[in-house]
Amino acid sequence: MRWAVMTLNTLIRSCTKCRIAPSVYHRPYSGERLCAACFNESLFERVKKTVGKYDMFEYDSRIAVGVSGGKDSLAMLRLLQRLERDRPYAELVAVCVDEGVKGYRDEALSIAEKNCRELGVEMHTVGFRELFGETMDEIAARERELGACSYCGVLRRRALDEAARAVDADRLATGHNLDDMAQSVLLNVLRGDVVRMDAFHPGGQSLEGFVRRVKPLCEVPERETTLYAYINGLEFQSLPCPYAEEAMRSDVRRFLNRMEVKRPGTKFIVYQTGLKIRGRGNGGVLRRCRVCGSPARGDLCRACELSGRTE
Amino acid sequence: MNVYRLWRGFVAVRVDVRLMGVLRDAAGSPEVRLEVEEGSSLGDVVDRLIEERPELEDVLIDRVVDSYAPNALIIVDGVEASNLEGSSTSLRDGSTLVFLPVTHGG
Repeated sequence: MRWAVMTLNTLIRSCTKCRIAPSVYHRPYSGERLCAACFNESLFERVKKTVGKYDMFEYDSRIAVGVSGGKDSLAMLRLLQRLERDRPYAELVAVCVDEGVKGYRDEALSIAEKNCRELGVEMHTVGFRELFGETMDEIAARERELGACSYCGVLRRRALDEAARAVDADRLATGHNLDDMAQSVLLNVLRGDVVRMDAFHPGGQSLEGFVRRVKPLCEVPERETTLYAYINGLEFQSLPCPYAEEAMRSDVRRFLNRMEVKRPGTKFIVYQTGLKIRGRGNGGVLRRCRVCGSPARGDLCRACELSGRTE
Repeated sequence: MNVYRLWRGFVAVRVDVRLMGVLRDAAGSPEVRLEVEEGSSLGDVVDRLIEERPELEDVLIDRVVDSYAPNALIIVDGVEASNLEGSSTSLRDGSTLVFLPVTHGG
């Protein structure tokens, strides 16, 4: 065992990678202890490997990066910017969605703008009002059948698609992390949603007329995106959404977090199991929405259903 | 030291706590300064914070697994607590603790 320095009243072990600097983080699922520089490097290498493994980008991809102003999307923007330095023909454009949640989203957008300005990345924003005729505040205030998150999730997804197309991108990168992916696998199992399970893939699929979605942070635990943002001094939005109420996802998150404490590596196993079992169902027949032409399971896509567009 | 302790009652050390995200809002303040007994551990500080501000409990600790780890990163003088001795990490006078909730809105 190598020891680097003594602070507090405790010896701090040296980094298991460089073996010189004092470690700042213990990675329970691998046993590594990393200094800040090696932690940053290991996250970058993991994202690079993930991008390569799922063949996420072309050498000249114009990548729309979904930026919410939260830690995941801002970490992703920085990591992708570094990754794309080696590909002179690739371009990044930040795409943001203004759902119209007073106080909450205003703050997030100004943080996103500040980060994009610092990095010299072009930013394009689309709003719920222009796209769907009402803001999330208005949707939340009216009588509705579903929880606010059900509306927001579907409409935000659609808004990102629209924004990616508006900036002429051929890829749309979203900041879903390992925790999100593992939660999705369990949620699909608990809901018996075989069709969604079939579509579970961090590399997305190419559909004519639609921008392919990719998730470069899919193998990075949420604790590590949080630590990355902290170590690198990123200013990110930390307020929770006032409409956050997704009870089932919260239950699954709590369960997975507890399992991860008891058995480190659980989230990776759940995620990898999701990848193994995808494609084993019949997947359902993918159709086109008769209003907007988006991929749909039925006559209308979820975004048109929820925003009441039938013509 | 024991004689001094008997005379003084206890030797206090001062720790600065920085709360971020939902914790900051729940506590109503981004920074808290606490005086704790010398030799106190991180776990003692967490208990003390929860005792003074019960609304922090949901984010700071999960009683089922008896750990703060599921919901928050705790940085002690720049080092993540699980890289030290976890909740048993002993604190020195002037230590700075950063409590960073893992799940944020975004």
